[in-house]
Amino acid sequence: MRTDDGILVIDSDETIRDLLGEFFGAQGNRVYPVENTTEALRIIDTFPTPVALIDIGLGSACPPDQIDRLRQADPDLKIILLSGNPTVESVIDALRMRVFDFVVKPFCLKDLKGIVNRALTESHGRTTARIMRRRIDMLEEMLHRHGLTPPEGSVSGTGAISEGDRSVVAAETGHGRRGKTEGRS
Amino acid sequence: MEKYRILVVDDELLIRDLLYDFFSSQGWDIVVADGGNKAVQYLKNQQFDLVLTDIKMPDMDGLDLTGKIRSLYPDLPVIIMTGFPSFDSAVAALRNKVEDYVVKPFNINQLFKVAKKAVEERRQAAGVGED
Repeated sequence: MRTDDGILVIDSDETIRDLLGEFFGAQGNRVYPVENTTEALRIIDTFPTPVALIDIGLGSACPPDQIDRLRQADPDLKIILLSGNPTVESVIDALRMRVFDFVVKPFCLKDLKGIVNRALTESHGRTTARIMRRRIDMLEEMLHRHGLTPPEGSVSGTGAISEGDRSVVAAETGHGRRGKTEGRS
Repeated sequence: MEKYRILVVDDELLIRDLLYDFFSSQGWDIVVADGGNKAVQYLKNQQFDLVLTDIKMPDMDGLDLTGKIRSLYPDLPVIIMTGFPSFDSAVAALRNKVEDYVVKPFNINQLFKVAKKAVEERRQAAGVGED
């Protein structure tokens, strides 16, 4: 099963969050619709989300601070901007911020799906590897707190994770669903 | 230190001369082409650290040239220069992963800064030192 197909949807508009959440959820992706960057950072820190769809609404300017904060959390994050009021300047800004794509609203969901799939393909599971390493660190820390040490050579320092460890991670986080939007109230 | 080597593609002689003089004065090797077809020939036979290309040229669109560059050398940095900026060409440039999209008339010092950053980052990524 692939675990590297998570999509973060950052939009202050609940209608767009729901639309994109339902669409990509129906495609079998894990979708994490959030209202703002702070919530997005919490998701990035916990779940593999190689792609972020950011709606910049009617504002023509790209949100550099927002993108910087997301990139600091995940340098490999593929960012796709959605804009209702595009200008040449806003696309040039996006290009300089190494944004993956710039999509004008209203958009065709089929086209957006193609762009998202290309972004997921290019991410090559790097985000998943980062999250798994982080979860392993957390589990080891938890074991250490309980006076336990991980079995020799099982996880620590090897960069590898066994099937057994994956089950533990899934149980720890309570996540294993797919085809549904997650992180929604 | 090995010299940086760049290819400038523009049908305007004035721009080619300006860039040739400026980049040469900074110690860079510079090759100029007056169109996309000649640029592709150079790219197939020589190594470059960076391509600076105009968009509107009689024989080949600079964005088409960028597409060809991507298929030949996916990581070769490209900077687009244009006197006719448009939303569509900027989006096409973004999708072709260009380093920058510079509107003419440009500030040559600013352009040089962008070019230098692009070639340095590429050499660093390739693990090539500057000593």
